[in-house]
Amino acid sequence: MAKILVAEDDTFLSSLLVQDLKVQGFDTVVAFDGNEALEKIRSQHPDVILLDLLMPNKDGFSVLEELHNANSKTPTLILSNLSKDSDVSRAKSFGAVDFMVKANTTPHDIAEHIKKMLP
Amino acid sequence: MSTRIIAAVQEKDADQRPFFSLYLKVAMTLLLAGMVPVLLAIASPEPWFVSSVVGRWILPPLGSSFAIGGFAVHPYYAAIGIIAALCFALVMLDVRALYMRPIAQMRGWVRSIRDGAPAVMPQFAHDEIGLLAREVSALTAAYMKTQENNEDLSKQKSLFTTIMAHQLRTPLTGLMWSVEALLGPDASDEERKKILPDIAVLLKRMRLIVNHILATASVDTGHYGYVMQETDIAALVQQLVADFMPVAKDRGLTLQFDHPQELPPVYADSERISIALFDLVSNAVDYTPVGGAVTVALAPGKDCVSVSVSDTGIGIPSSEMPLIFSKFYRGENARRMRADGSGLGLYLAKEIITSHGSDITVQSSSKGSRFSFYLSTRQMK
Repeated sequence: MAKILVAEDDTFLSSLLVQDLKVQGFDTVVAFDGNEALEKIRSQHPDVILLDLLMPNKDGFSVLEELHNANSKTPTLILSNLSKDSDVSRAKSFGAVDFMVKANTTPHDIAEHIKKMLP
Repeated sequence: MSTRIIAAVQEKDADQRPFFSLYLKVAMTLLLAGMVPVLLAIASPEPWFVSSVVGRWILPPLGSSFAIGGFAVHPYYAAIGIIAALCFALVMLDVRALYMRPIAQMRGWVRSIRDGAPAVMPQFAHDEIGLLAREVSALTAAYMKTQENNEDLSKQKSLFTTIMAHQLRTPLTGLMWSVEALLGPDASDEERKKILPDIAVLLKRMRLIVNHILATASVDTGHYGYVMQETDIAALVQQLVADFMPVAKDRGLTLQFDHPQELPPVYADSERISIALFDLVSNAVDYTPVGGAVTVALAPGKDCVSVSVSDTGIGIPSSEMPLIFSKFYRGENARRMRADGSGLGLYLAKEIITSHGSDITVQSSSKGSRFSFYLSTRQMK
């Protein structure tokens, strides 16, 4: 069972997403800010990271940068309501595999996307 | 360009009237050119003139003509012709120096302004062309300032739209995802029931954002009106505190309302002042960690009731204090605690409170913040 880390500070969105991912057969780990996300990535070794960009304490860009510097190979999917080209290209320059805009997608689509990302 | 700027330019130039005005130069030129026909007229052999003393002195004897190419040329008229030609040449030179060259210079200068090249005003004489050049310079400066203002305004509008769209996207995402969960085949009745209150919260958040957008737009265009009337401020705060109680409990905070038994009514726009208080209490609740306390207090003063909202929250660094009431500003530690937030709450709160004739004062440390203001018990004139 693939393990997905959901880094999302909005508890309501996080719970809806986790609920759907579980139904789709994924194991989930949640983090509510950037620091918690990095800690859980190190301790839980997820197969895919779902990363929000605007988060308290440490934002998603900083998380990505640290993962990039640490040569992390875990595929990261950005899930954010930021959608400017500059944000997308910045995230991708730090190694994000893909970028999904939360308001333009659904938990079901996200789950389908993750399935494609897994080996 | 505003008429005020034009007026300012004219006023400034009135003190620097041209020393050697173009009028004078033109008059001299005309005088010089005018001498030719005058001299010719004087030289015409009218009988009364020829026989006069001056005529006899000016007009040479007719017999002194000489011939050029078979034409009899009188030396006197030849001399007048040469003087006239010289005068004309001088006038043309002057016209060229006075009009043609500066106009050509100005044309080149105006063209360079039009093309957006750096345009330094050429040196013009202190005459009418120089004045015109200074008018063009002032016009250009005013135009460029307007352009810059328009660009700033356009950037601000774009920033406003981007921030607001992003603010709306967050609850919109929640609504879309929860509706998908409600409609999904896997959802149980229990799960569906659990989601509905969350949808209500999201809708309230969206309503708040939309109200903030509309209020800010009204403030910006100067159409945010106030209806001041006798208001029972204690009842208003009581209701607000009651509305916030579930959220405060949910976040592990104590929410208190301190007020004396008797308070005089205040003159306020109850709807607007509710918005300001909502924003202050909402900030206090949002930026106070679990276990903290938020207190709204009312106290009677001289012709007023003082209102304060205090918390045991994260506080505002002193370096950020001058900025907290700016539109869209969100403090560094506020962003760390909550990633979202429109940055409009305090902007609107200050606008509303100052429109009620009060300052809003802030005291803050790492142990918490206190926002206070007063509402008058006397009708404002």
